[in-house]
Parts: sequence; structure tokens; C-alpha cells
Amino acid sequence: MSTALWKLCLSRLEDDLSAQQFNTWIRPLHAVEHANGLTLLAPNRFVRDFVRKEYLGLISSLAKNFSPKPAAVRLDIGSEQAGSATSVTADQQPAARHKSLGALGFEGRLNPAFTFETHVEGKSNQLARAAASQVGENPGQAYNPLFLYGGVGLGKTHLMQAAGNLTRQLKPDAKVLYVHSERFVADMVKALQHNAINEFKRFYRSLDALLIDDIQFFSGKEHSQEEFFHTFNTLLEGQRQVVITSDRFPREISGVQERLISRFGSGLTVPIDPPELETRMAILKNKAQQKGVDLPEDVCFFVAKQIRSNVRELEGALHRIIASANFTGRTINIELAREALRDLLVYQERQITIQNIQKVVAEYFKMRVSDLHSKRRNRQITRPRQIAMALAKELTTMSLPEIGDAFGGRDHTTVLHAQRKIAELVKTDPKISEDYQNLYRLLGG
Amino acid sequence: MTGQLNLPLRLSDSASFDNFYPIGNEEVVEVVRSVTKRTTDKPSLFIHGPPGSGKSHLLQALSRLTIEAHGLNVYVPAGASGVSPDLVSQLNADTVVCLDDLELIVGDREWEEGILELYERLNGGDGVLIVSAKQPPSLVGLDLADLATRFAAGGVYSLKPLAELDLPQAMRFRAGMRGLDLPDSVIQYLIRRLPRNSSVLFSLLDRIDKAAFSRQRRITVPFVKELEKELFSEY
Repeated sequence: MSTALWKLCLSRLEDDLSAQQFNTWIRPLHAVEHANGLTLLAPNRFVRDFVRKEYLGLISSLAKNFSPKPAAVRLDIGSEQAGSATSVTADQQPAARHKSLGALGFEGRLNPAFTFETHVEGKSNQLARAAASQVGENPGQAYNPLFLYGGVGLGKTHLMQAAGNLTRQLKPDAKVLYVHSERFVADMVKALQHNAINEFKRFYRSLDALLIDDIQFFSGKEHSQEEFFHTFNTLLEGQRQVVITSDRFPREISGVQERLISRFGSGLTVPIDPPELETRMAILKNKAQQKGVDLPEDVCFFVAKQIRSNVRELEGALHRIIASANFTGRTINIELAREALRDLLVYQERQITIQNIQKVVAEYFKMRVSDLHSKRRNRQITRPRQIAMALAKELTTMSLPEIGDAFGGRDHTTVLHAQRKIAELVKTDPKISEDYQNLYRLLGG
Repeated sequence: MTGQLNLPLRLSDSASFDNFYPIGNEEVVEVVRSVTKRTTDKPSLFIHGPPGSGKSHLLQALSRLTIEAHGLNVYVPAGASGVSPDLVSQLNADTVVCLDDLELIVGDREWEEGILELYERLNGGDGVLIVSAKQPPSLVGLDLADLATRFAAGGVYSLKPLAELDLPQAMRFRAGMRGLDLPDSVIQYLIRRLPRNSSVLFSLLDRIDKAAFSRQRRITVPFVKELEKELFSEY
């Protein structure tokens, strides 16, 4: 309930503050009158703290001016509906907001939508899927730990959670927890602040399976690594399952203790590569089906051909097309898809230029861009040059002669040879394959 | 035409969906307005566009709408004093978080990790994170590729700035929302005299309206000329 006193204060505040300040910080407050003055209820702690710091002095002096008797102004958290009687105090707020670890039950933060049935298999993720499936069926016995790594948005989280969901399906009382590394760190810090670190340790060490995502975020966080190390050991010794994901191979994770890195590699380490065209199309069809949308074949091909980098961007593109069809009431066809994705594709084209490819390749192989343009023909230079040419053909719409020109005026047959040579080496030489995939990812291709 | 203002009281010109000129941006306005319905399984929406295209206006309008519906909402002007990753880390998983001007905090590891953690938290609840930036997720310069791709997975929309030809109509619309009948001569004068940027023009319109109200004057070209020194010097 707004009060007359608060209304007077509001009218002055609206004049004194900018519209942005007023709307952001003052408008969300609800006032409750009491015998000694006002209690202002902020929707959350963030607003309350900011108002306390920036505006409480001003509000208090306005209230004193407008009130015939001394008026104190209090700030609290709550809502108008709840009123002062049920408003949440600052100290209660964290507990109300976050389910305590003990109260988490063993829902375990798993997303039920991430199952093997909703996962699309392709060459790029076949091995990882098979390993995750075995781990889900026989936790703690098949591969422990299972370490999945690959670029962002390639489905590591999906596979990891599918394994967890499968375990829960086969053994409903299993304590399976999915946690993002950031969340693990945040929970630990909170436990330390609330003197609950022993509860935290007991909770994590009592699990049947711990699925920890994006372990690279532990980089530089010594205290969290220390705690995780002990949890990890306890779980492994008790034959409980640990599944870890990262955006890179264990040895390439910097800022993480050596003893942890070597333990990560003690089970099975499997890469997930970017999906090839057929898999991207299958993913799109699958996602569209889940949303109850019929995606025509040519639209599917168009989107999969354009968006090559990762599954998340494919999802974003699909979402955009469906939203656009709903908004305009039009049927999904290639024309609508082009319109809906116009901005996205323009930015993508802008991003992947031949100059950018040459710069990224030169940096990756620690050489100069001018070496790529030069006539020098030793292996240390020709291989990166061929890789850069192959990437240019794959990621831009430039013709072979245009690419040849951009590499010091070379003939188009040289570019064609480079493209074929790299395609062959990617299949037969693991080192070249890895370099090519890394560069492909770096370029957002 | 009388010599007085059309309304006895100065109307508030706070950001709302009603006073956002939507021409050319109809779809994105509708998407932002309906953001709390969670039409996607992703908890984010990313709006990008050049300065003056109306990103802050839309985010504040959404904040206001959410608050009016008694939902949890926080408008976070990135880079503003007192706004820190620590504060963001305290937000409830059911909050509609409007994070404005993302580019002011990209490259700050603590901020980026804080936002990633917030994203994951909102994903576990009913909250939504609406982000505005000048560039789309892939180009805004985020160090955490994981954050950029998470943003890319939700809706990514560009907000087009008003075309020059649309400015007079947009100013008339904006003035109309304040109960003002702005003469064409004044509109043309302002557009000729000032940067052709909607946020500059709308903010000036607000200040001219306040000056006219406090001095009890009608808004005419001579009156606007009188205000030049006082209001236009920075342009």
C-alpha cells in the first residue's frame, strides 16, 4: 500500500533523479507505513543494497521534511502483496533463494530433457556417446572418470546428463548430481561463508555419481581445486562414478594442479568434434520435432549449411525461424528462413574473412602472415599455408582463383591441390586433424 | 489552437512499451514484451543494435512491466557505479534480469563468469536474462566462448535504429504519448539542428517539455531557440 508520505517523496524523487535512475531503483519500491515512519520493500537484495547505498540518505531527508512528526525510513526485502508481516528479511533471503544442499533431494539438477533418445548421433560424437551410455548403465565400473572434451556447444553437457538420467532410470534411488564448475565454486564459497563446509563435503562425498561440467573454470581457483581433489578421490575410491567435461584436452587446461590433471586422464578421455553437415541436419530435424514444428528439407539444408560452428547456434537459428513464423503467421519456407537469419548470416560473413583466416592460422603456427604469402616452400610453411587455403575454401564463398590471389598470387590449381591434400591428411594424420579442427573452431566456422 | 499546453500536468515520460516507436522493429518489441512467457527452453534473449536504437528503453519497459505484474525484476546497467558481479550473484533464480550495455563488462573475467553462473541459475529456475549490446554475441568480444554460445542459443535479435525519414513521425508519436501537440516546424528545426539520433532527440524533447511547463510557454521555434544555450550546447 502506498502512503501519502511516500507519494510526496516519490514526486520529489521523480524530479530530482533521471528517468533511468527513478525507474530502475525507486519505482520498484513498495512503501508500508508504520507508527515511526516508512518501511520500503525492495523486490530483492540487489535493489535494496543499491538503494541503501545511493538513495537512502536522500529519501530519509525528504521523509523528514514532509512528515509532521519524526519519520524513520527502513529498507527491507519483500513485496506489496506480502506486506510487512511476511516480508523476507535480509538474512533469510539466501536460504529462501537457494535450496540448501541437504534439501536438494536427489533431483540432482539433472535436466530430464537431456537423454540418449533426444541426442543425435553422428560420426563426430559416436565414441563419446557410446562411452556415456556405458557409464550410465554401469556407473563406477565402465570408465572412471569419463572425461569428455570438445568445443563449446557440441553436446558435452547433453551426453553427460543423458548418462546421469539413464543411471537414475535404472536405479531411481541413485544419488546423481549434475553441477557446473562455476556452481560448485559458488556453493563452496557460500558454504564457507555460512560455516557449512562440513555439510558441503559430506554432501558431495556421499554421491553415487558426480557429473561436473566445464572443469576448465577451475583454472586458478586453488581452494576449489583442493576440495574437488579430495571429493574426486573419495568418489573414485568408493567406485562411484565421476564424469567431467572440458573445452580442451586435460593436459591443455592451464591453472589446474598437475595431480588433478593426471587423475582426469586416468579413466577414459574422449573428444567430441563439431558435427558434420548430415549430423547438423539431423539435429535440426530432431529439435524441430521436439517443438512440434515441421521443418522442410530445403530449410533444414540451408540452415545446416550456413551455421557450421556448434549446436547452440543451430538451436538459436531454429528458434529465430520458428519465432518469426509465429509472429508473421507465415509458413516456414526458405524465404522466411533467409529473412529471419539475415542479420545472423551477415555478421557471420563479416567475421570470417580471408584476412582473418590468415591471421589466425599464422598466430596458431607462430609465424608471420607474410610467410603465408611468400614463395618459400619448406614444410613448416607450406603445411600451414595449405591449411589456411583449405579453411578459406570451406569457410568463405571465395572462388579458387580469388583464394590463390590472396596467397601471394598463386594459381587456382595450387589451392585445389591444398584443399585435397588437407582433406586427405585430416583423415590419416591425427596431428593435422587436430590442428585443422582447432583452427576451424577458433574461426567460429 | 490555444496558447496553452494540452494537459494541465506534465506527463511522466518513463520508458514503456507504449511509448516505444516500433516501426521496423515490431518483431523484436513483441519478443521482449512476451519474454516472461519463456517461449524457448533457453533462459536468455539477446538484443543488439547501435547506440540510440532503443535497447535501454526496451529493457526498462520490460522491467516496468514485470514489476507491475509483481514479478521479480532487476535492471542492471552494466558498468554503473555500485553494480558488481557480486551483486549479480545474489539474484534469485526466478528473476527477470535486464542486463544493459554488456560491452562495458566484456573482457572482465569476474563479470563474465558471474554472468555464466547467473545464466545457469536462471536456467534452473523460471528466470530470464535479457542482454543488450552493440554487437551480437559472437562479435561483442566475450572471453568466455561458452557464454557467447549460450547467448546464441536463445533468441538473438537486432534492433534497427530509426531511419532519418522516420524521425519526424517518431518524434510526433513520442510527443503525443506525453500529451503534446508538437508543431511540424519545431520537429523540423530540431532534426536540422541536432544529431539525428533518436535518443538525443527524445531526451531533448523531454527537457524542452519540462522547460515549457515550468515557464508556462507554448513550444514554438522561437521558444526552442531561446533554450539553445541552456539545452543544446553539448550537441
